[in-house]
Amino acid sequence: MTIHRANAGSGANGRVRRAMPERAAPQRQWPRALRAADSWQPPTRMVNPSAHLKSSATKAKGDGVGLGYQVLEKHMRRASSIAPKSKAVRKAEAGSSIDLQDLVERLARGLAEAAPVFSELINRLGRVALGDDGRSGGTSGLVNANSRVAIEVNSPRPVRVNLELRPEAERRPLKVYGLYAPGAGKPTIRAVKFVPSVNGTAAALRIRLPRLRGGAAYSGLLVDPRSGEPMGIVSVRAAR
Amino acid sequence: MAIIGGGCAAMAAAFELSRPIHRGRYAITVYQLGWRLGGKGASGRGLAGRIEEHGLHLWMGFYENAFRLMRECYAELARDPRRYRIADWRDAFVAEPFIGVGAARGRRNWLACFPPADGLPGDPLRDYNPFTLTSYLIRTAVLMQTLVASALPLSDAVAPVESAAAELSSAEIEGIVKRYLKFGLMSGLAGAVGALRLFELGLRRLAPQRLGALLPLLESLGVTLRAQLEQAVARDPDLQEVWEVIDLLLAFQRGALRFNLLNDPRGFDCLNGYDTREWLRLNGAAPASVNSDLMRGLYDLAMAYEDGDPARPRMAAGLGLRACLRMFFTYRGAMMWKMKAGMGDVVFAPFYQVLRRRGVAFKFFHRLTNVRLGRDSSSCAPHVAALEFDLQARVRDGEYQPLVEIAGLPCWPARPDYAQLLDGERARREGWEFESHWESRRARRLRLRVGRDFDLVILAIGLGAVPHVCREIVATNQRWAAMVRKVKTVPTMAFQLWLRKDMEELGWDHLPTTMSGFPKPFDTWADMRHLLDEEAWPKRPRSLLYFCGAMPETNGLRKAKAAAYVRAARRLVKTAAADWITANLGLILPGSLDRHRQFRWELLVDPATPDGIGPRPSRELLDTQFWTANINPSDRYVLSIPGSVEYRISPLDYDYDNLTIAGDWTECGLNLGCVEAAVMSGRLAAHAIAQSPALEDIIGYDHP
Amino acid sequence: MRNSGFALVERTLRRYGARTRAAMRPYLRAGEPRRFLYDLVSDYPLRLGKMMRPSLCLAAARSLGASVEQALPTAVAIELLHNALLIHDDIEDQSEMRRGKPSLNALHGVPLALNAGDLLLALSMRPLIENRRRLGGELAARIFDDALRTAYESAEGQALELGWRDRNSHEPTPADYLTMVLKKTCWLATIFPLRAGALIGSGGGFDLEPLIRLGFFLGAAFQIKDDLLNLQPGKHYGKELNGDLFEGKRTLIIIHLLEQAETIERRELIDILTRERAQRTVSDVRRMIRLIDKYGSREYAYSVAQDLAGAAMHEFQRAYNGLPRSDDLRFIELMASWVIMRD
Repeated sequence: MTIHRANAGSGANGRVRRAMPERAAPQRQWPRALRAADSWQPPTRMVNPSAHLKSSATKAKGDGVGLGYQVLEKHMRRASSIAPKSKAVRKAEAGSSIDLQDLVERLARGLAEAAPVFSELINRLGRVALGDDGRSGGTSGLVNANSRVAIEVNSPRPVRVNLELRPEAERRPLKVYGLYAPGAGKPTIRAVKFVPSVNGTAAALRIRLPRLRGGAAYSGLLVDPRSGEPMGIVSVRAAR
Repeated sequence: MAIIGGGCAAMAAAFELSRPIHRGRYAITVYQLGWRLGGKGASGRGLAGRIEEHGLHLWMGFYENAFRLMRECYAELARDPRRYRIADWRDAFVAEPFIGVGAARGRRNWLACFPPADGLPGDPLRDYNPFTLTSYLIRTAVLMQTLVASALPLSDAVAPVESAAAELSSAEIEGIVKRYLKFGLMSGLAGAVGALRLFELGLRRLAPQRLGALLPLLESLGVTLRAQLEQAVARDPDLQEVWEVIDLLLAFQRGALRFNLLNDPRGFDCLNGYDTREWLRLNGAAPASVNSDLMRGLYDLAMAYEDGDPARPRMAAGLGLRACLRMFFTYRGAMMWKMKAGMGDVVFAPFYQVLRRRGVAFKFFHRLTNVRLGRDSSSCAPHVAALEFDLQARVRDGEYQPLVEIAGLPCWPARPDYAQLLDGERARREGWEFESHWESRRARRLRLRVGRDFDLVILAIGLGAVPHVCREIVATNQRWAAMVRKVKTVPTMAFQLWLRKDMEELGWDHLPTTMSGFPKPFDTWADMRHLLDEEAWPKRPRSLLYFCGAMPETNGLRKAKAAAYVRAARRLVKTAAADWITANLGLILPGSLDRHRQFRWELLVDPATPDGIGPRPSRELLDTQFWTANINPSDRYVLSIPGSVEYRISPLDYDYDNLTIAGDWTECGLNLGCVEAAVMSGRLAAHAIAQSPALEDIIGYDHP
Repeated sequence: MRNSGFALVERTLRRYGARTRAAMRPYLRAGEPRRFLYDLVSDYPLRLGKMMRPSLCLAAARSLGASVEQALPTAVAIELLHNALLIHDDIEDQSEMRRGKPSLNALHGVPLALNAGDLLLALSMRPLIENRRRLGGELAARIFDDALRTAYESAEGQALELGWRDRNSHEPTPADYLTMVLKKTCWLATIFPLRAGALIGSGGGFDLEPLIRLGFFLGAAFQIKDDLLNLQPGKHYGKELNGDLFEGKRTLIIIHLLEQAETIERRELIDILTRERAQRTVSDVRRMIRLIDKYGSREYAYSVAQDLAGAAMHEFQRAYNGLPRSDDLRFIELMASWVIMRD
């Protein structure tokens, strides 16, 4: 009911009034801020407003989330000991993933010593040192060192290409908008793009370079075009 | 249904309430003073069809509500693209990827290109909800990793790859640790990237209640990063800006955890007692960072100076952070958009035409003078009983036709069409200022009564005008009194220059750019050359620049008589503009200076002459350009001073059962002076009347 | 949206359910003795379930790029394991109805039902062993390990729940209840299907940990809604109306009621709950329903389910953020609202 005439009590002077709003302030806390994904379109509600909550139930609202996380936390803490594991799995897990408990412990210790290890891991996963160091002269080439992303370079001069990818980059589509050099007057290199694989993630990076002067350094940001999140850096340097 | 005012909030409310789903339930009349819609966004076409704006209006890529309405409006307008150059919303807005910040003396200007993001503003948001604190924290953590990595020396920084990470034994890892510790500076930076990565992992994996555990990591990370980056900056001063950004991001993250933002039901609003810079400082940002060019540029964009005083930058921290995060991380298409013609032409003419088509009535030349309250016999709460107007001029036959066509586009003129007005000739001769607050000449008075002339009212005027027209409400309602006292506004000023040489010839070799952070008082400027095609010059100027800024409060002048005050304020702006050009334009356009490093006034194009050449070159030639002092109360820009936000009143507020309010000065979720806040507020006002749109569909209203 | 979104859910359940059922048939081939064993083994799987578990597994695998065929054996294993555990549950709970028909123990008696359940349990491991051929040794081993863990967790969960019916045990709290549900329901219903699907889809590269959280919130919301449906005339999914009350189950509704009730009512309730099943009469159950209504325990449970579903959406974003959109991903996302809004 949107608007109602004031009832007979106010006599002939029945004014139109607007309805009392259901609320008059934003709800900013995170669990309530979530909506079903396409509800940005016509309104739907996750929370059913017609559920008549009695006082005891109202009191309990919001408990669910906190309670849920508590239970989970406890469960996770004793998680890994519960079932025996095959040998292959134990081996695979030892090096690959960090379990939560371990993570929290390290955080508590201040992390100073752990950090370099992580960056090493990241670098190992992401970094591609271009096999052809650039000295053998410039033609196109397809190089695939330890990464799943191949690099194809077409350059009149020898160059060194460095590709740093964040771990997540492997399952994302990637985009690079151009390579930029610091300082004024250097043109932006636009002939750089990712060739997608069948499932949309990046399979190869293709760069076509103009003749660069020795020592010229260009770099560009890799982003996931859907979210705009940075995913890594590509840099190009011409040999001196 | 009476809507008073014709700005963004009013148009948004009218657009919502006149939607076909309401089946004409609301008979809407918009009351507007003067001859044009637009409020602070009104623009007019002057001599040579040139566009004359209140200031520089930019649309941010996160203006989801505003863009959505605009897109719907253009779709409904359905202009024939063969006839109109601006037929679709994409014709009306152009992406602006280059954003800059002017540097303090002795340093180079910042110029950044923000990559286009997927989608377009106003698209339905489907993929995921980006408006969570966790996602913002993750985004900042990722950005920091990228920035730190970009500060690493290019090639030799990292040890060569030996084998896949999964196969490392613990002994090998220890070896790597030792090697890293030996590497000094760069291993430190690399190590910091690792710690940041870990921070990001924690954000992704820990429950919100547990994120406090990450705080020690951030604290020690700050120490490491500071030591490392300060050395790096000492070697390469270009890294200074990178370091400042990292420092600010770090302070944000630390503060977010310290203040337990993730679990606070008020979201960012719990910080609104602090100034943004003060809060960042409190959370460990270096003085150099909070005083950086970047920070100044951001304050400039929001004109966030109390009383227009450059020495008093003030921006409530919750709002400032929310705005920055949304601006940098949730834009779609481009971070900024510029309009392809005047704001009146691009925004308000289409709204006018569509609303007219839907049957909305427009009453121009209606100046609201008083909102009168009354009481029903049965209830104790007052309501709006009457609306009193000055009818500024009477229209000759029926309805005033406000638009003119310029270069094939329906536009608003910079002057009223006197021919349509009774006694129009007299008003023109005597120079009636229909839009001036201090203009008291009128045709007659008019009183609208509740029940007879209107049922419900949306008050969508500027905040500055509220105390003048809502005297009864402010006198009897303490919350309203507190609001008009606490929520501050500031006058603004702007000028526009049409030049006869290319930007390149004048010494600007970048693509069109928008920059803020320049010397006060005109701290923000933009290259607007794209508008020249829309104007109707006999001989087209080659470049066009807009400048704007907050105007210092002129309390001394105010005591003068009304007419004298307006004249004095205009003179003040002209002098300030001329001084600014003399002192600072060379920073942007070195080619505009002569041998003696004086500005070449003859570059200015005079619209009054066919060849554009004006009288003897001197600073008096500025008279041929456009400038404005936005001193009318309703034209004053709304600020978000710390400690003021909680005094705002929501359009949903129910103190008066037949009145709601709309405007960027209301509690609308965003609470910043901008188009988006006004549109959100207008949609909220529509919700207050019709329960539609749903609050959940006012995008960003429930933002943390 | 509600209609179109749920249409996607129902469509996916139908389609993936049919694929799984077809692939399941060869494992249920009849031998002798039919009457005492093989007919019993294939009875539950042939009754129409919702097929939520295998559908989740297939969707999780497909959303990361695997084909249905690659994930089908695992989906079959999940459904078989689920049915095997149902047989055991029904025996332990002395349930009388399952999917609209009398339970296996009611039809054939406990010994034969137990025997059939044991065989079904063993059968359910076969597709997982056959995974070796299709997915390679390491991946198959990891899935197998996760299945084993699921079995452990389920057994522990069932033990917890049975223990609560003991007169001497303390009454469970909501946290105890969620812990039980995490083990007994979530691992098999949601966590394992999501994780196994992710392992198959990504070849082992996907971060599995967030899926425990997503699965937990999803599964817990699902279970609470299930408990609510059991009390709703006409909506009780082929189990007896109020069957949970007859069985004396400590659902979240009952736990809330016990916490809220006055001392005398509480004592009365505990007395009813701790009796042998056969001793609980229709009037006892009516009395319990009156108290449930008096203390708003259904509303409480529904609000917790809503919270958990909200948290599930949050966790969905965290786990799958940035993946290419697909109907399969939408299906998983929509599950969060579907589990509490279905009826």
